Amino acid sequence: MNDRSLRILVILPMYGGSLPIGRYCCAALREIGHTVRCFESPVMYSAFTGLKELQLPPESLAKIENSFIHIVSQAILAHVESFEPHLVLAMAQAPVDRNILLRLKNSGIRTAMWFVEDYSIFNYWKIYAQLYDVFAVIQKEPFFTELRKIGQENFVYLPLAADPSFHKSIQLTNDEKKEFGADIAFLGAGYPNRRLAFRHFAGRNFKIWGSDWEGETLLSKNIQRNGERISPEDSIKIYNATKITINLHSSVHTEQLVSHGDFVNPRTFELAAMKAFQLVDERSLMGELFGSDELVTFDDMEDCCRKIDYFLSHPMEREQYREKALARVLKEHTYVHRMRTLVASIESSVGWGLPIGVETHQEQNPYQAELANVMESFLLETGLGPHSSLETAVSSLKARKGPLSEAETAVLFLDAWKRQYLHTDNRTSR
Amino acid sequence: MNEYLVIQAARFGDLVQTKRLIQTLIARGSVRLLVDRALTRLASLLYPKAQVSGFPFHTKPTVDDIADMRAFLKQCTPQTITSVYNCNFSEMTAALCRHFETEQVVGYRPAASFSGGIERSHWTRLIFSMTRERCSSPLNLVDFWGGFASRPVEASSVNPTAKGGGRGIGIVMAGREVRRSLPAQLLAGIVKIYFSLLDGPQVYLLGSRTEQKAAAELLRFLPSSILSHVRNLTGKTDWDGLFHAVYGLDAVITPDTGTMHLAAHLGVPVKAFFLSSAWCHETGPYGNGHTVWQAAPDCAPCLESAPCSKGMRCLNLLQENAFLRSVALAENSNFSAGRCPVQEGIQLWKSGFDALGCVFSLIAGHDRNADERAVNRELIADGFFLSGNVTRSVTYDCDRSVRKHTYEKSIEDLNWMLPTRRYC
Repeated sequence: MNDRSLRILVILPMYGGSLPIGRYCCAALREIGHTVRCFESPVMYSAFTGLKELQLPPESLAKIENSFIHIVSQAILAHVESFEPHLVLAMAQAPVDRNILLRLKNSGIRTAMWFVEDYSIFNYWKIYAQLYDVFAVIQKEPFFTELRKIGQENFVYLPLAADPSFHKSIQLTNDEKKEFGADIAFLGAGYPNRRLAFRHFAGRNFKIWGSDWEGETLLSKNIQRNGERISPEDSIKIYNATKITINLHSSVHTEQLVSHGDFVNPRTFELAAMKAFQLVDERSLMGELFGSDELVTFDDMEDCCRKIDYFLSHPMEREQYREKALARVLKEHTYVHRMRTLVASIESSVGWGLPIGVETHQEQNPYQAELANVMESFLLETGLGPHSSLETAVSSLKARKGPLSEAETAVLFLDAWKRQYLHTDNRTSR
Repeated sequence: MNEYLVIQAARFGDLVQTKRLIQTLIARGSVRLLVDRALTRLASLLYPKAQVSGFPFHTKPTVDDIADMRAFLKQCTPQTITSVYNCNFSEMTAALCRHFETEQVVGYRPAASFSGGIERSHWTRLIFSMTRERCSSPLNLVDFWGGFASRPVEASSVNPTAKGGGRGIGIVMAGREVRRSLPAQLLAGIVKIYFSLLDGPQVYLLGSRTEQKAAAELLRFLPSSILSHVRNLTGKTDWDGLFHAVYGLDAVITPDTGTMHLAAHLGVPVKAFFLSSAWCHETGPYGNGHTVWQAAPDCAPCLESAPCSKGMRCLNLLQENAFLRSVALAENSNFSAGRCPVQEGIQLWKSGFDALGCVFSLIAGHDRNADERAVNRELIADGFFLSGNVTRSVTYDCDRSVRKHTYEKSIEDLNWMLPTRRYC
């Protein structure tokens, strides 16, 4: 661990769109060099939804669901107590209740939420936003003003991003090209605006992937796999196999099929990272994220259709856009960039409440120097780098599944020995 | 051929008390035994069929130690080892178990979580739930560890039946815990009784260098008629020497010590004196024919780590003149029931077996926890019986309310609701 390395506890939501984003954040924070623990809320999801199957009276169900969330909160607190993080980062919809946030408020542990939702639709931020030390959002005004109104001054604009280690261009087999390929494709849920908008493509080589397209008759032949959910792995194959991917931001309104909203969805960044050519609807915040020579936008469906025709017949131009969009993502729009921005924002606005770096009492211990020497070679062997601390190595090893190598096992043994004889009064017991 | 790894990182007495488990595994395959480095020779003497290795569990590891550890782990892999028996609730041993698949580890498993931690098997949870109130603690530690294996060997085959060998008596000078040891004057009184009873045998003082002072003090209280028969071996025996010194003795007089367990291992009759935190139902000498004098005031057994706020009532009971008279009477009457009067708070126990393992029968005194202990034992035996570990159950006739009360204390709700075989 270098001297600015933090312990960060990331709380994933139990389900939903912010779940994969939370995982990308964990990977990015680790890549930066922080020690990250991820609270795996999704493992609780089936138990939570299972409560509904018990046919309880509604008033009882609500109480029991609250109790369930309370238990999940207790589990989060147990992690907080054992890990002593500098920062608890909650993703939108993470099961972090008000009691936890109030308890953490004066503990020195910083809290932040990345609210990757449309504030005008999901309004629970009005209760929670001020309880976090820092509130990261994907929209600007008038959301900033609204946040100030409820007393949250520490907010940061943090647009979505891509994870280039996952969202990348891949080679497809001929069979995969045949299965996933098309002139035009869309992958996503069947929101009302999309259902109407995509009728413009009826009769074309157009594939619709994803769920929630039930009852769509005109496009029924275009819907793939009977509207099954598509795995992240298959989505990469689809994007890589498609000539033009349509990226139309969702809307529950149908008066305007292209909603001209503000925030930019994660698909925009992910498609760019995968070097897929996309036609994306115009967004007010798009201009500062991508230039007009990097992404092609459309402002209505007629415009979209025109550009489909044009770019289908101009593959070289598609290639130029793909190259530039990828370069921009790698330069500015990865989750590593976002996490660096978030951590810097917390540091400048509220600072860290817990000391950072190796605690000095360990260095004063007469055994420390010798143990440190023993540790050094193992840390290098375990791939953690020469500046990693024992704490970083141990945390990483403990989280690993399956048998450890003899070098890794020895590191864990040394840590346990040190804690038993140098830090605590524990004894080996029966 | 099956190859088992047993990790026992605790002390002298604990290593001896792992015998039922190790014997069981030796009967089924080859056994690698990992112990504290200071105990490797002892382990080899106790378990000559096991392949013994030592780790620095209680001393500072050096670079060479770590190299040795890695070499050992390279030999023992998830592919070569059938099961790992981790006998200790210890983060160090749990760390070593991470070298194997979780499912291979029996007893105490490393938890697969960021903060580490240790998960316990149903067996260890059950026994520990019954020892929350130690006075009704139902199981000898040898049987506790023996129960880590399915179908452990017959308890009666673990140690030889206690039988004097004609070489004299051994006096163990002190236990590791000072509070569990006998003061020199009291010990001298006990020695006189047995010296007389055995017609003036050789007397061997046993202990390490740290017990030499206690031995010198004992010698001050012994008459010259005994002194001429004394060989003071404190600080003069290595593990081989201690084995040689204890082997073939007529009796070993001792508090709860590792040497006591060694005597039981060798079939030497043990005359044990338990007080303070020592409790014969947990760590009494294993086998048939040993006796334990248990100081059992209301506050017993206590915690080793907590200071005594009762003015050492247990020791005071042993220091009353009546106690030595009871010892003499009991030995002279060959422990006949009804002919061994004891003071209130003193119990005399004799070791034997039931279907579960070693159990102590009360010869004299009152056992206020008899019912609860017996019901707990019955409960353990039921589980053992159901899982095919014993061929017959242990039954106990007692008041229904006692059984209900004991069940409520010993059985956790979650064990009814969730799979009992889970580790948690």
